[in-house]
Amino acid sequence: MTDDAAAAPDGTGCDIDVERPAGPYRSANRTTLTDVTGRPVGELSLAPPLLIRQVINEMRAAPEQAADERLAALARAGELFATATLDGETPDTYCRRQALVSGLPVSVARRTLGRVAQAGRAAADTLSAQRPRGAVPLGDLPFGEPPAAGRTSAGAAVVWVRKGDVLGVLAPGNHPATHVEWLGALALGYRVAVRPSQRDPFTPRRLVRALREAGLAPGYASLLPTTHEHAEAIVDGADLGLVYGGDSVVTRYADSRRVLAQGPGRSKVLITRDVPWRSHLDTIADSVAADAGVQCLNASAVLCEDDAPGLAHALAERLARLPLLPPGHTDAVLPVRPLDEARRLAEQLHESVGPLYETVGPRLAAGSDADPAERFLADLGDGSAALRPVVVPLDSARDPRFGIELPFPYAAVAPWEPELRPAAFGRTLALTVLSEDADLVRECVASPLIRNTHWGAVPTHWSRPGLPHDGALAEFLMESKTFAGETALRGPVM
Amino acid sequence: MRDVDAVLGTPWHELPSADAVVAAAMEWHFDPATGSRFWVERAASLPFDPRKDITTVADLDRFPDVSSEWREVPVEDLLPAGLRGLGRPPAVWESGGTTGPPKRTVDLGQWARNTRWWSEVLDQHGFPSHDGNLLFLGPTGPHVVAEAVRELARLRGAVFFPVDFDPRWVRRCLRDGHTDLARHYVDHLLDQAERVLASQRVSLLYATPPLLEAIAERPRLAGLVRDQVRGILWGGTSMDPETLRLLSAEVFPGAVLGGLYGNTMMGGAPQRPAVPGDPHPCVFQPFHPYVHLSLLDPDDLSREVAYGERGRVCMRQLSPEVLLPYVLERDVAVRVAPVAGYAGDGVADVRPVDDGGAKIIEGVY
Repeated sequence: MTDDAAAAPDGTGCDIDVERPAGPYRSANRTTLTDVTGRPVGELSLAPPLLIRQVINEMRAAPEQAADERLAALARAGELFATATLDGETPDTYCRRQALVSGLPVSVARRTLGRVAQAGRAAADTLSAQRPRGAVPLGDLPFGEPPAAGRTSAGAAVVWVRKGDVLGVLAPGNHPATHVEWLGALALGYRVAVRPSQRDPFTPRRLVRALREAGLAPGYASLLPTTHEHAEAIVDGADLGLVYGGDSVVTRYADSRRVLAQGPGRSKVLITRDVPWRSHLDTIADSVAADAGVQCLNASAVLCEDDAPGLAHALAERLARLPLLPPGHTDAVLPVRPLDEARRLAEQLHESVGPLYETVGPRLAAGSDADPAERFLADLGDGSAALRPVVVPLDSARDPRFGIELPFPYAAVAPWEPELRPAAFGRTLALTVLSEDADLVRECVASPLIRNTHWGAVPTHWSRPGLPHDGALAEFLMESKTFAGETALRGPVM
Repeated sequence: MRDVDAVLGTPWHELPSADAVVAAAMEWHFDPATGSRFWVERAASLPFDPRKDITTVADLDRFPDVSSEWREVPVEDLLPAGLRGLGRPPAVWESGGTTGPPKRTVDLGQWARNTRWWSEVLDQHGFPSHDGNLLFLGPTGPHVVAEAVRELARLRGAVFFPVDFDPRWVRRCLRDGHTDLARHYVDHLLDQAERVLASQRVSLLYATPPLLEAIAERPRLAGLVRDQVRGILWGGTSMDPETLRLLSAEVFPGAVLGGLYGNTMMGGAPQRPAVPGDPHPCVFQPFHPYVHLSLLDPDDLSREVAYGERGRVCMRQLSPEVLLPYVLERDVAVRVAPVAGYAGDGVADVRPVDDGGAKIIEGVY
């Protein structure tokens, strides 16, 4: 067990165990967990494949829990996640730990407290909203009301059933609220095995603790930290997989019916000539930089019909005002990484967009012998560095640097030409369209490449529980089947 | 010339000193009347005289690592002249062949001597003896381990039930991305194991760690093992500490588990019984004083690491058949001080050199 009760308020002393149905379990294989300054804060248990398979077998063997009990537990768990002291961890301690190890501003974890509570409360409504109209859940099939002995009374029905029992989740570490997604799978009756990211094991650990405390049957959620090498064992052992990663991961699972891969969002803002971009700079900057710019829902590209270079300048100027602070600071808004990692990223940026960045970003003083790559980061002096926002003006949306997504506020700004049409966007998770052109907006909504369309001053990262994020998860986890009892034979032919 | 058996072949419970073995081995392997063609010819190009200048285990560092030459050398050149004319040809064993063509060694009894000692170590662990048979799920063909375990079964009064197993084929399948084929092959091995276990009295099982894990995944097979196997021997690949703990505490709680670290060139280094205060659950002891495992600082191979530190495994074998004074293995391990009953350093937490143990690759997500 962890010694959370004794944990210092700065978030040290936080070991992460494997969470089995029987409770926390410390693996003999462990690795050191460090914060963004490189300071060790605890040990992360690592599950080898045999343990992963054992735990998934234990989940399968655990008794079932009725849907209404599960949904009630989800609602309570959201509340506990946001407000309760769980195994000695207060909401404040959780937020600090999350911030110091992930490097995200502490305000991100604070907002996540509320988002999880909201998602828990909304779980039952979300579930019924996603169920196809006319379909019934398995639990609602009318058995045992026989008109005569030995017969079922059922007519024909569409039943909505799970495609499997266990969902394996290879969770991302970019933003704590991504964990809300698998709460939906619990609502559908899946047992969920989560592999946390080493950058954020605290959020899923707190969720699992909250769920157990709230009365979710212990076989329904487990935490399986493991090495990159062995993560696949979780997806292999489960019936279905939900996997987050880069383009290589998305490509790898592109043809899989068993694994849903969620990749870079490449979210965008589009502003046509009929809307003055100067009055929407807030929405654009917020789309790019809210929550430290780390979400797949943050805009990484802006298309502007009128004066794209002007918008790039104004946006760069606006974002350059964001304060450079350590993640635990209340006013922090930018992501912080270990200094050596930040330097590697800065080198790459200098090589790929250095000259373009110069036209809108900070210039090097003439004769300065400073490393030009250092412009992309702010050394915080404690072994970590904040990643500065980057705006890159491009001549064309066809430039290969358009559509790159990076883990900090980054936006490529290119001119919009009406003949491009939405088909030229490339895949886009969320698109904010600032335009009076209703046909264009309709075309965006209809485009198979654009997942969510926001019209007007709605930032790309806006979301509400119950609305599809990248499609509804239920579309992947559930299917409709026919059930016909004998009475169906006497029913009317439709 | 000394009688080879007087020192190199001494029974292990009347141990000569390690340095006495070094001196005897130099005398034996570099005397043209007794040494192999390989070493006698090699002596001319060495910048020292082994028979005069090499007197301690540490002196062996002056030799080059010749083991990869043993992929090509005719086995006649490896056989010491003093062991010719015994009326029987040597057995020849091949290494795994993971990295290129296999290396070969000659054997006229060293593996049997090593195995007799191994069997005594198993007695200390409480492995069954003269009480049930042995199922062997390990490499057969040119690999020595099947022969060693066959000898072990004989010593422990057990019928030897092997299953044909070609590890090079499995590695080839994996290397070429045919994981399905490899899985199919494992099923083929386990189907045969299941038939033996279902019909025969088996109290001893030898299996590689991946096969033990695969057994754990098949409920009926795992049940058959739990029902009658009292001793499980594992070897061939490393096993992480948590997998070992799960196998012994949760999957096969009724059996004693004993690991074997080793390979064709090294011989077998069995896991010794734990002693109070052992910092490692699983410590391997080489066949002292004929085999030494030195743990060298990966950044400065001329320095041996301290007890409790991790180093690159360097193996030396000094037997009547084989002189391998300096072989850098592909493993890293922790150096463990000798304990009562086991002369020579032990090694623990053995891993392949490239495996950081806890690699977590982070992307943007």
